[in-house]
Amino acid sequence: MEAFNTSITLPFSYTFSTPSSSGNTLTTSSGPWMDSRIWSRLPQRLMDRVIAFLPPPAFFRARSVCKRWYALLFSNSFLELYLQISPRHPWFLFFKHKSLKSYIYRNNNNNSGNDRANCEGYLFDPYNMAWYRLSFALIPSGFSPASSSGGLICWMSDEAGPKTLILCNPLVGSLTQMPPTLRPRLFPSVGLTATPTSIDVAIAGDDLISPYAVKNLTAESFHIDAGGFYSIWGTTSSLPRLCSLESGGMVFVQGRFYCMNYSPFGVLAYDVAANMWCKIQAPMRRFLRSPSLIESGGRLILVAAVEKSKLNVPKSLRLWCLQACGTTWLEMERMPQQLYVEFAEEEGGRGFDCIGHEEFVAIMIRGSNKALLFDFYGKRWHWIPPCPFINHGGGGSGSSTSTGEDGELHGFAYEPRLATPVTGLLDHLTLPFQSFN
Amino acid sequence: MSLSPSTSKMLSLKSSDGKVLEVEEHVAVLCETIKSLVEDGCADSPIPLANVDGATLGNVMEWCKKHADQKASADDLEDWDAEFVERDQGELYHLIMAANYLNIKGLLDLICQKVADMIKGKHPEKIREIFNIENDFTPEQQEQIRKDNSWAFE
Repeated sequence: MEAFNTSITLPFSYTFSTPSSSGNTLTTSSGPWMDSRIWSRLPQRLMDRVIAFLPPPAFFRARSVCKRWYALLFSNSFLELYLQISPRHPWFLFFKHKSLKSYIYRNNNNNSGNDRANCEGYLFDPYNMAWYRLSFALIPSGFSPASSSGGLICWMSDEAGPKTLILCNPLVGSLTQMPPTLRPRLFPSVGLTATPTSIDVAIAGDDLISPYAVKNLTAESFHIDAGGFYSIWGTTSSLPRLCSLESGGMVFVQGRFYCMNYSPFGVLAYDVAANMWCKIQAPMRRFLRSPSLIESGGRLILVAAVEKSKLNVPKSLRLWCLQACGTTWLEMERMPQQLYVEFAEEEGGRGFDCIGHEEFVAIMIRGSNKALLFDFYGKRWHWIPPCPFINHGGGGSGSSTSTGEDGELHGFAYEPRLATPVTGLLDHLTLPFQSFN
Repeated sequence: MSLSPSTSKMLSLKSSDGKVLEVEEHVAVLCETIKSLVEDGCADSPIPLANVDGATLGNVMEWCKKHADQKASADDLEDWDAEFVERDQGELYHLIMAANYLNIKGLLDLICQKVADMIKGKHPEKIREIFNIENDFTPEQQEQIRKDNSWAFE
C-alpha cells in the first residue's frame, strides 16, 4: 500500500502486453494429472470445502459430476460454508451499450421491444482474461442495468416516472424487486452497495417536478439491514448548489456514494450515515477529459485524461486517489507515454469510461470494442481481448459508425456469487407493498 | 494468548508413527485442537496426535512457524504459501487431512484452494474418475444440466 504514495512512477516499472495471438483463453488448461488412488479417499466434507473454492464457472461445470454436487447450490449448509470461505473474485460484467438517445428514438417510433440488447451480459475474469456469457432473459424488457454490488446487478426501469429497481443474481437467476422510488425520474444516477447483511441504494437526478426546462435535482436513498432497521426511500438532504449530475453509476467507498459533477468537473459525495451531500474539487479540473470515478481496495480513484496545451505537461491518462482527509487527491499512476499514444490513437477523442474492482481498472474506449486493463499489483497494462460473443461488425465492411453499436460495452465491477441471501430482507418488504398499493 | 516468542515455552507433539517433535507453544497453538488442550491444561505430557504422521507433522509445523512469525508481511506470507503448496499429491492429501484434524483454518483453506486450482480446468468425467464418483444422472439429465449451465462450458 505504501508504494502508492510516490506521486510519479517510473515508466520502466511497467510491462506491456498486447492481446495474445491465440485470442481468448476460454478453454482453461485441464491442469495437472491427479492420482485417483490418493484423491478418491478424500472425505465428503473436505470435498465440499474444495468445491467452495472453485471459481464460479468451474463450480457450474462441476454440477454435472453427480446429483450430490448438483444439489450443493441448494444446500444451506454448503452455501453457508461457501459464503464464509470462498475467495473474492474481482471480476467485471459488461453489457452492450444502449445509448439513452436510441432508447428515446425507439420509444417515439413505438418500435416495440424486439431489441433486447441487454438480455445477456458478458462476464470477464481479469486474471485469466476469459469471457463468459450470462443470460439475463428473466429481466423484463424496459429495464437497464444501473449498478452492481455484492454479487447483485441492479436493473432500473427505463420509463420516466417512479423508478422500479430489480436486484438480480445472474448466476442463480434470482430476481428481487424493490419498492418504487418516491419521485418520478428519467435517467438518474444510481448507486448500490450490498453487504451480506445490508442493502443501500442512492438515486440522484432531475425529479421531473419542474414544469419548465429547469432541472430540479434531488436525491433519495434506501436502506435495509438484518438488524431490522429500514428506511424505504427517504429524500436525502439537498444536493450542493450548482451541481450537475449525469445519469450513470455512483461508486460506494467507505460509507459514501460518489458521482461525477459536470461543468466544471468535480465530485459529489453523499455520506449515507450523516445523510449529507458535499462537493469535492477534482484535481486539475480544467484540464480533465472523460473523468470517471472508481472504487479500488477501499479507495476512491479518479481516472481521467489530462490535456493541457502547455508543452511541458504531456497529454496522458492519470489516476488520482482521494486522500483520507476527503478533500485532496494524490496522483498514484500515469499511463506510460508510449501506451498513451497508442490509446489516444484508438480513442480518437471519443472519450472512454472506467470501472474498477480491487486491483483492476478497466478502461473502455467509447464507440469501439477496445479496452485496457490496468493491474495495480503488477503495475501492468494489457489490452483486453475483445469479447468473443459480440459481433464486432467484422468483415471490414467499414460500417462501424460513430454511434458505436459495434462492440461498445459498458460495465460494472461485479463479484460473481453463488448465493446472495441479503435479498431475503427485501422479500418481507415488497409483499405488503404490492398488496397495499 | 499473547505469549511473546522469546518467553514461549516448548510443547512436545507425538505423531502417529511415534516421532516426537518439540515445538514452541506460540507456534503449536495455531492448531485449534492443540490450543484447546493447552487452555484446558491438558498439554503437559507429549501430546499424542493419532492421525498425523511424523513427516506431515513436520510440514504442518513449518507452516505454523512461518505464520506465527509476527514480522512476516501479508505479501511475504502469500509468496511463501504459494511455494509451500508446490509439493506432491500424497503430501498435499496428508496436509489437508492433518489441517482438518488439527483444525488450522488458514492451512486447510490454503490446501483446499490448491486442490480446487488443480481440478478447476478438468472435465466432469475426469473429476468423477479422480474422486471415484459414480455418474448418477441419466444421459437426458446430463444433457439438460449442461444446457442450463451452458455459459460455464462455452
